[in-house]
Amino acid sequence: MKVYYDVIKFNFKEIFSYPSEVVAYFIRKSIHLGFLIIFWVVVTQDNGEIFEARKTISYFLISSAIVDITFLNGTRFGRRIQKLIKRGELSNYLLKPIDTIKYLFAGYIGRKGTVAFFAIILLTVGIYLQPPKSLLYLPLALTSIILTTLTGLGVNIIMATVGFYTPEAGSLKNVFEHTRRLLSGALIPLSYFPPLIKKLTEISFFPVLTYYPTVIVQGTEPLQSVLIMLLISAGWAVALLTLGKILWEKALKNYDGVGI
Amino acid sequence: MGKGFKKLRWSRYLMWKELKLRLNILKNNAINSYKVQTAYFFENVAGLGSTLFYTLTQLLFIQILYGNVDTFAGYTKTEMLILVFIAQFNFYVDWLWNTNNLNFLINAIREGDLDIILSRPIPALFFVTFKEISIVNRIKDSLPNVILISLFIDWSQIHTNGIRIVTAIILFILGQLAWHGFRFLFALPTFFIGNARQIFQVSGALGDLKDIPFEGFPDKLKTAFTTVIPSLIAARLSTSVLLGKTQPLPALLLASTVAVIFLILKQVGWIIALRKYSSASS
Repeated sequence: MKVYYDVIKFNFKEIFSYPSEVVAYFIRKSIHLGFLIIFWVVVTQDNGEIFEARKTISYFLISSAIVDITFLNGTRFGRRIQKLIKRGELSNYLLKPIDTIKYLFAGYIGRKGTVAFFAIILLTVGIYLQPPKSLLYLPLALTSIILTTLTGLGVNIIMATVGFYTPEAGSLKNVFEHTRRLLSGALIPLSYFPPLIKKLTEISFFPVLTYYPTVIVQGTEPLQSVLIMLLISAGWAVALLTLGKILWEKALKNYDGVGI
Repeated sequence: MGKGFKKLRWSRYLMWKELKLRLNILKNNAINSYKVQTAYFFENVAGLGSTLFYTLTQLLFIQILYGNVDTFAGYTKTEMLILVFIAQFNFYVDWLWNTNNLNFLINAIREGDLDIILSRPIPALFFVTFKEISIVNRIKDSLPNVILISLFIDWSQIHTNGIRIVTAIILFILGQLAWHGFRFLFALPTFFIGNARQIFQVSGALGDLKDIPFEGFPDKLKTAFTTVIPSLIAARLSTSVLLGKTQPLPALLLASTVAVIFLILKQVGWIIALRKYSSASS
């Protein structure tokens, strides 16, 4: 485990080689959030009886933080592995006596250290705007965020395995991303969806990626609903990680990479 | 008189030669871009699928939003769809000539390719501005999407006139030029600090306006985002003029001034950056 911890530390330090880039990242994220807040302020100004400003803004701060803190944004981890496969660089990692996925994920977490830092600030502000009804929600929220990270990791591994079969997989990632943004509740909370679309969405794993952890952190849902959400999240985490592992191993067996 | 006439003919000849050279660069860059982009068949099909999915999620988003509200910043659902239609078109035009080429410039500076470009007897700024012109691919990607959006618009509910339509088109072009000049300035830090990808992306974030109509912005932001940061002009201001929510003439005067200023700033920025450029091989 120490190896992976060192990998996280090393990659985290590496990003500070360009401090102006770190500052620019914070500015970019703030602008992005600023526009999102303006959008929902405008919506709530005209329709205050439907959308409550404080609750809605808190929702988007928390959901944005969760997407970043669980390293899901842009399915970039999966895309990074796809690129390694395409360039023949994956072999460098496969030849090492390490767990490839863990090693690459540790490096990815390290490089996304600033992303996680900014996400924690957003999460704090989001919780401040809409504090949970009871402290009991905090461990539940933490559990939910961990389950979302695992589900997201499963999705990323599945996305990465596509790279073994076609080197031109960038657009496929975009298709998934557009779908995820809408169906996970990152664009608009699922509670405002028409009943039929909401039901169809709830059958999929998408709500686990944003909506469930966000409403659990907000602590607005009754405890019984939260427990059901956690159970569904755990189910999807196990299912997607298992599927990812099976697909990864199957793809590796057929992989003719450089030096393998 | 004869000498003056000869001088005029000579300068016209030089101008024609320069124009021909630029047209040749445009033609060759367009052909090259087409060949590069069609080399990956699956990526091309998936690229179309990706943009189509984006449009579908946008339409679903509007459907869900207007399922809960009647108006948004004074825009009805049809007006909002017009905004999305123009914003999508704006995105594809930007993708055709602006962002891709600025990314190319950043990579060329970082990887040393700019040295080769600068050593060629061609107008370097023109070349890097129009290095990638993927007309066929952008038409292929954009057409199904804009047609799809237009099918959802109830055109009978749109009340506009010829003057507003022409003004909106001019505003769109001026907005594209101003936005290009603005983003170009954000690509220049690469000359000075090497890695400036996030700084460039800051400029992109300033144009990611989340479907907020022009009227949705507070007055101070409206002023800022049509002057110092010209991201509202191409899609938002032109839609507003088209729908009769903003007067055409003041908008046109403002956009013309801003576009000219940013194109001048682009030229000045390029000259300063080249003076400071130490090249990758030195």
